Amino acid sequence: MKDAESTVFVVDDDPSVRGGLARLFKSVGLAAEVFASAREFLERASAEGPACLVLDVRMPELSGLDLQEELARGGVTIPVIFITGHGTVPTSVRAMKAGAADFLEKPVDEQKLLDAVHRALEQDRRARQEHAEVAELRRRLESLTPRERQVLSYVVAGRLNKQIAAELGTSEKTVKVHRARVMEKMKVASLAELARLAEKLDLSLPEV
Amino acid sequence: MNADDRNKGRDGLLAELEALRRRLAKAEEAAARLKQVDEALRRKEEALQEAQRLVHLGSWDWNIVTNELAWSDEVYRIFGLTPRQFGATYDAFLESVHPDDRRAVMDAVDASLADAEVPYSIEHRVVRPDGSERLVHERGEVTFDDDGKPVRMIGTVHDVTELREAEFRYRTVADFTYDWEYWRSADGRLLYVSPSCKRISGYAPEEFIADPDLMRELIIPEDREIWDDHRREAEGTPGIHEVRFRIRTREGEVRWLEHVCQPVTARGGKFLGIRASNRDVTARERTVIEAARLRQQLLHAGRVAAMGELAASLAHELTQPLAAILSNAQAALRLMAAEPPDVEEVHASLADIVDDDKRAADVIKGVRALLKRGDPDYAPVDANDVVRQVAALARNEALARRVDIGLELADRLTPVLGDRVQLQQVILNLLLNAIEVMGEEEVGPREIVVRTAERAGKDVLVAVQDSGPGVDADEADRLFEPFYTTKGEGLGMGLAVSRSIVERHGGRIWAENNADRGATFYVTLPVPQSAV
Repeated sequence: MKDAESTVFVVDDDPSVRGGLARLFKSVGLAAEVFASAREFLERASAEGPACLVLDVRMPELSGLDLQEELARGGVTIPVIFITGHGTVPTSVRAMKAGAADFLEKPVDEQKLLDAVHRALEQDRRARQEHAEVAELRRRLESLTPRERQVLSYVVAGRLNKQIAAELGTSEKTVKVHRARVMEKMKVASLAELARLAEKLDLSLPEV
Repeated sequence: MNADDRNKGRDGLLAELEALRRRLAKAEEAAARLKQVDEALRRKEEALQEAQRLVHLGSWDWNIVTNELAWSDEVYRIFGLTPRQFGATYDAFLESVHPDDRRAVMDAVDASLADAEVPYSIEHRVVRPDGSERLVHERGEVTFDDDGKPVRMIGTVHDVTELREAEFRYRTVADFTYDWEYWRSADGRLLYVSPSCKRISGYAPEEFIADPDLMRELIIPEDREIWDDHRREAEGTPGIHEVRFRIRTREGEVRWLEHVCQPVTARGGKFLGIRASNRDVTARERTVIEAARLRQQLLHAGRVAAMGELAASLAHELTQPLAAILSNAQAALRLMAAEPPDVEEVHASLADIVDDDKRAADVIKGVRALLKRGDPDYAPVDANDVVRQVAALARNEALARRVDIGLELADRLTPVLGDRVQLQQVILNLLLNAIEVMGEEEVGPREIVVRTAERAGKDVLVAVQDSGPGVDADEADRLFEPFYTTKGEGLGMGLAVSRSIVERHGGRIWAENNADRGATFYVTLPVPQSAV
């Protein structure tokens, strides 16, 4: 995935600081969007591609830490890089515990900052990819009939067709038909592949 | 005898009788006149005696040839004698003179008898028969005959006992004054200098009397103009004049003198010179200077303490522009390296760098101004400016404690006369206190509002309103006392220093609880009357 599709969000109440940061990100070909407050970010930030958030800890009204909490509550998983004028240990510990990607001190060296941003974007890119994959698998899973889902469970649990037929009180032939349809709907060619998908979807085995 | 003869004889007798009667009448008349003259003389004599008694001045007349001495009644009184007791000779007179003074009296009399040019004038003691002593002043004149032989001496005895005692009392009052007293005559001579001048200046009274300019010479050169101005003014205008200056003593030490003087005038208004008093106020002056120095130190310490509280915020205040500068500089480097270089954007980066550098410099300038030690510098100050500058300084401290600072400033304020740095210190103190008390309140709004207003051209009011816990009614007055603190940390000097600053500006500072919650601290500063 190319950098141009990535976005760096900068939230800092100091116009000079956010202006400088935006210019720095743009100079390395990163799209940067600036916000003067956490509130403004919550109201109008949106990103299609990978993104990360460069966030000032200390701001009027909602602080950087408040915003981080707010995002977590809303299920938004954007990586957050904190920058602070004078980081105190308790603040950084709190930020990192809450899942901050990085905690940097102002004035922050460009290499450290850019490395952190690239890492965060890569993390977000991977997370988004993962998220997209899982979503696709779920869609496939949801296209299965209840009977097909049952068959899938037994298959990934390693049961033979005969055993499954016995469990379900049907013929082995019918089980074979269900199984072929599951493979088709889940777009897999082998049993091994199906097992991996199931694991990814974290499918629990039915009560046997 | 015939009838004619008889007639003639009778007529003659009658005529004679008539003549006798006239003579008798004349004689009686003359006797009456004489009696009147006598009476007048007696009265004159009595008046003279009375006058002598009143002024304690007796007179005497000494016939040197016969050695007869005649005294007026007053002389007898002064000597404590009755006319019978006194042998009325020169030797008998000498008996009354105090033995220790006798030689001097004899010498003085001899000198006058020997030389017409030498007047007889001497003060000596007299011992009365009851043993008591009187001090008398005698004056006399000698009459010489054609051969130049002294024949008669007349003179006076003045009892000056009380006069000399009074003189002694006045002199003692003058000589034993603690301050350096003097009286300078209209023609510039020193009529009197008290001995204390020696204690204060190291020079004796005689030295000042011998050289009336000595005092001016002792004044240190820097203060001589003050002295000259004062002297011109004091001699020209009635009333009391005061001036302070420094002298260098004989030992080389510099001392502060407080000089008070007034013109001396005779009853008719004639100028008789200047009576003056020099007081050594060196110790007091040193105390004043020391107090001023301590106050400066305290103010400075107060500012340093305030800056200490602000240190973290100030670091932040400096970090912001530095961070922006770094970002812009690094961006500019990249933009320059690009193909083709983005010159326009580089230019924008550099412009921002310049702005942020100035901003950082302003922060440092503000800090330096607050830490500056020095005399107050009074100049017109806009209270709104002070509030804005201080609010900017405290902004980060407020952010850190999650407190909002709102400004509701008057559109236009008449400038007050004040020291900008000190006034900033006062408002900063109030803001920091407000921020601090709010830290203790967990619920409700955490808001500070700073208002300014002008009250009828009289004064400018600055109010710092917080939403903290407020102040106890008992505390409200004690808040401004030194070392009074409700905080765990801190010296408790902030408000005391603030009050001392505000009061020196002629203003007032006080605290009141708000109707709902929190307290408001008020500062008033008078508007210069000429500006109204």
